[in-house]
Amino acid sequence: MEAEHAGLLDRLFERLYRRTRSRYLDVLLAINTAGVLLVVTPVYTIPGRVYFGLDGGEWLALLAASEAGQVLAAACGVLIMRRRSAPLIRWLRGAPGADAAAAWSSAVIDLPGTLVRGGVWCAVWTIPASVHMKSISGFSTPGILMWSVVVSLFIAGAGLADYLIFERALRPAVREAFAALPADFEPPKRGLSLRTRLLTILLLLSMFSAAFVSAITMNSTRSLSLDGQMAVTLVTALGFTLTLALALSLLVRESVLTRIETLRRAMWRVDRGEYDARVLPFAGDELDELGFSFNQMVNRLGRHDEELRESRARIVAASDAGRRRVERDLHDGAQQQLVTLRLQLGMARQAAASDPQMAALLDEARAGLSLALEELRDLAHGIYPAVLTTDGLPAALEVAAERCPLSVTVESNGRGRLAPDVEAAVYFCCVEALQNAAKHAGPGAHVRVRLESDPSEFRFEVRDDGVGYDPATLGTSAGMQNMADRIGALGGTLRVESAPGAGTSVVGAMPSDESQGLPR
Amino acid sequence: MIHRPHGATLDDDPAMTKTVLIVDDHAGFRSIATLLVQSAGYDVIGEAADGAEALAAVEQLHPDAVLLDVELPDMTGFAVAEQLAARAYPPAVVLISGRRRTDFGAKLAEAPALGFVAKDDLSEQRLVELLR
Repeated sequence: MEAEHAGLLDRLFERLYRRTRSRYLDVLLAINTAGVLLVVTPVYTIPGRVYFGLDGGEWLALLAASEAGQVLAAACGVLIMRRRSAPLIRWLRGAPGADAAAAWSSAVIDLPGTLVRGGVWCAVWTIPASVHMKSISGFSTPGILMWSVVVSLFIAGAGLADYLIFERALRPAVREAFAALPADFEPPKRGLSLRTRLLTILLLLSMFSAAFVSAITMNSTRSLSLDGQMAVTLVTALGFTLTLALALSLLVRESVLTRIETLRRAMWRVDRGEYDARVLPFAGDELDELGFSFNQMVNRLGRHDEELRESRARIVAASDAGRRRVERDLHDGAQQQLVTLRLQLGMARQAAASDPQMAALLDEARAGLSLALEELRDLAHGIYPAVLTTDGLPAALEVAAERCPLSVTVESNGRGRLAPDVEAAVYFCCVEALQNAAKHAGPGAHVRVRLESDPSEFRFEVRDDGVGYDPATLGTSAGMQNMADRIGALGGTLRVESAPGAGTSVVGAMPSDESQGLPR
Repeated sequence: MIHRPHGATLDDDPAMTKTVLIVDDHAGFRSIATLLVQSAGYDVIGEAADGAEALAAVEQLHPDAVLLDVELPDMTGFAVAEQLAARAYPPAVVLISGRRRTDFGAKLAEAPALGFVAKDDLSEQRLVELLR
């Protein structure tokens, strides 16, 4: 995994994680709860004393109510968070059947989400708390509203900080779960989006500024009546907040969010194999550095992919050429010698007609030679069938069908020949599928070989109606994997579909162009 | 599947001994084939080792029949057969090969020839049957 910058906090959490791995979440929740109580207690109670002059019994009552509420909320919070993070806890404890993907989702999506919802609930409960404050203190409505705003803002700010710290504290567990994620893991799209995080920070910043501006405005408009003060303060604070929020969100959207989205789309395109995807650097900042790195990386990736594809195609072509050469050598060399020898033996047999013993010997020698010749032809045919070169794919597959012990039909909508390497790849793939069907489909199974071609694609399919199998348990045979590699080297695709009782299909597709068709 | 080339049959003049040209790139096979053809009662009037030689020999010798290997160094036996069939008086063509019949697919059926014999199945009897 990529090494990331580890700050003091990261190192602390990492150490804590290593020491308390199986109990790590409980340790975190304990620290978190203690921290929340420590921060929230003064936030609730100090303004009561400082701004509203509560003292003696009233202040103690506020303190007691605040503490009771907080302890109750914290207990509920811990219970809820432990419940939401059950997959993570099980995984950290190494429970049997614990799933890294569920643990990752729990740590990255569920737990922080619960934390945010808990924070919002606490902020909402400030309203009944403030009503209670008003009932016990007899303060004016504007005063108590001010208190609510100040407390809510502090809680929201502290909640955000808590969220960020908690997210960082979970990182050692997330890192470990991430390393164990399956390759095809798709993250659930329910996390707190970057947009939401940034907008929350902007909103808080604007509200803090508004509170600050309100205080200054109230102070500088003392000469006005209370209504006048409130009106000027409201207009100033609202105007200031809206302008600041708008400016900041525009800035964040244009210089961060939109560009990250562009980068994300470009990466998605590269993932689909579109190596012409590039991002336009236009601001000269860190994101542009990222864009430049991305462009260079895609450039290299595209070049390597192209080289790899060409190299694989060359290997397949060289292998085919080698097979053709061996077949040709066998035919021109040993096979021709044996043929001539057999004819000579035939003539010798005619000449020895009057000698029955010699005739029998020569007959035996001729029969043995015929057998050897047949075996040699079978060997040569298996290496590279001559009919594939002379007459193309359907004809070669017809011959393969005749040699298959099952009943096989070959259908083709062909219009011409394909490139030799494509014909060879498809031929050997179909023959492998026919051999597999002969071995596994069961007696009496019927196999249908179909070849279809259109201007953009050439497709082939070998489908049997035999017993089938469960691909999840048996996987792909080495032979079929070789065929998939061979087809893949030429830019094609191959897949095997089967289910118990439902037969087996081998389905492949090769890119084609207008000039390519199928052999007649 | 047997296509008689348009033109004369070998039975046009039974009084004459039928003449045969042997076309194959393997000298050893040509020698043994010559013996076989002769013992079948035909007259071998020439040999050729490739397609161009075969066409020149036919032009010069006017054989009644050609024993023609399908795979020649310069061109296929099918192409030679096509050119021979286009002549005003085409000779009868018997295609031969060390390969199996199935190795040539539909091409064999479409070729303008009397028939096909695998080289190791070549015998006096088979030749007589085909050239009768």
